[in-house]
Amino acid sequence: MLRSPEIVKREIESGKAMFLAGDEDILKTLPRGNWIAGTIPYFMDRAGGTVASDKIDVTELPHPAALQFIRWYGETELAEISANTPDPGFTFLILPAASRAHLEYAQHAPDYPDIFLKPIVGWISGVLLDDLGTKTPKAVNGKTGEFSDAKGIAMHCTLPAGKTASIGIINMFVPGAGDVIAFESEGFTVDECLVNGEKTNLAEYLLSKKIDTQLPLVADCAGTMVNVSFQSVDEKAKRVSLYAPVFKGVQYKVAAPVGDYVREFSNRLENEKITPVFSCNCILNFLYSKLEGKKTGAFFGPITFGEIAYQLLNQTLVYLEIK
Amino acid sequence: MIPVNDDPRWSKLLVGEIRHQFRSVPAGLMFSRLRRSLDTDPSAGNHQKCLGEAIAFFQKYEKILADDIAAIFG
Repeated sequence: MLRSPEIVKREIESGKAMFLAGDEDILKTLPRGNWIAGTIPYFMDRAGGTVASDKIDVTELPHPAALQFIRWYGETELAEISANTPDPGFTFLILPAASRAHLEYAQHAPDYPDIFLKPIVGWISGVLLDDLGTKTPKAVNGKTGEFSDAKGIAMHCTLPAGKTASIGIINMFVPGAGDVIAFESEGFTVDECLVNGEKTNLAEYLLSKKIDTQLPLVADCAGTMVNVSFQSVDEKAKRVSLYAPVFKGVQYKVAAPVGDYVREFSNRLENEKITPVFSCNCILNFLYSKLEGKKTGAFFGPITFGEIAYQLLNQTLVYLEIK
Repeated sequence: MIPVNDDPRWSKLLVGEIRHQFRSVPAGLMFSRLRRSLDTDPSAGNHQKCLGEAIAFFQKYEKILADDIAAIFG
């Protein structure tokens, strides 16, 4: 929920543990304390999708969780994150967009030891889109006041016995009825792919089929729909850039179009009983579905450059519940 | 209630012979990763390792996997 910096300062000084999100300049005015933060000026608030540089999004560490410790993770240390996650408990992780830590986590987190046995939730920090290229996304350690555009910041949190951190997602995209697309190599940039088993240049395929690249590639991972969003299609270089890596051995399809995001979102949640203590949604949903001023139920939090539910996700709302 | 470790349904679930769309996000992500691992390395040793991971996951999260367990194992 968005709060004024004055209120946030008082809450920090009272000793509360918090996950924060906000513009870099406003985060720099905060006192040291039990908080971590990421830079971003886009939010889901009570009033709907909002762009604000004078307010801070605050998620208080939910009861009955307790802060165990805060630490930085460089790219070579991220594989330790599961081992450092308390049991029972969870880890809240923020990685700066385009940092080596972000790229490392995106490509390798699914293979980290015990990654799916310890709940890890979080997001990829960003900047105002107009500031891309002049400012870098950052993560912040509130304990020390340090800002980093290279490392991720994590708050490791404990839960009492019998309580579980449960991470869920709301992905409005499902695989469309089109071709099956697979990849023989992994990464954020793609030249060749296999379309229904035949080697094809992905850029040429997307252009020739006039595919709407606002729709992500979607993989059905045993019931969990995982998106990979398109960043750009370079017609000249015949290369496609993606916001998340594609993986070998996974079958993707271009997503079926989503009509009215807010209406379909509400329909989806009609029969769900979700009580999120944290949530974040993707900047691409905010932009493509024009969510400014529009409400997405009881989900409040940052609108981000990527979402973390164990592994990196794209164009997906991620939430945390304590059960 | 989850079956004993040597129940053949575990192996069928692991390799996708029992088709199931998990409601649990980490379960879906984990089974997807385990199946990719088996595609790359189908050896008996890796099969056993992946099976162990899958069973450990169910044992740990039996409470929150209740819907999936009921659908898979009845």
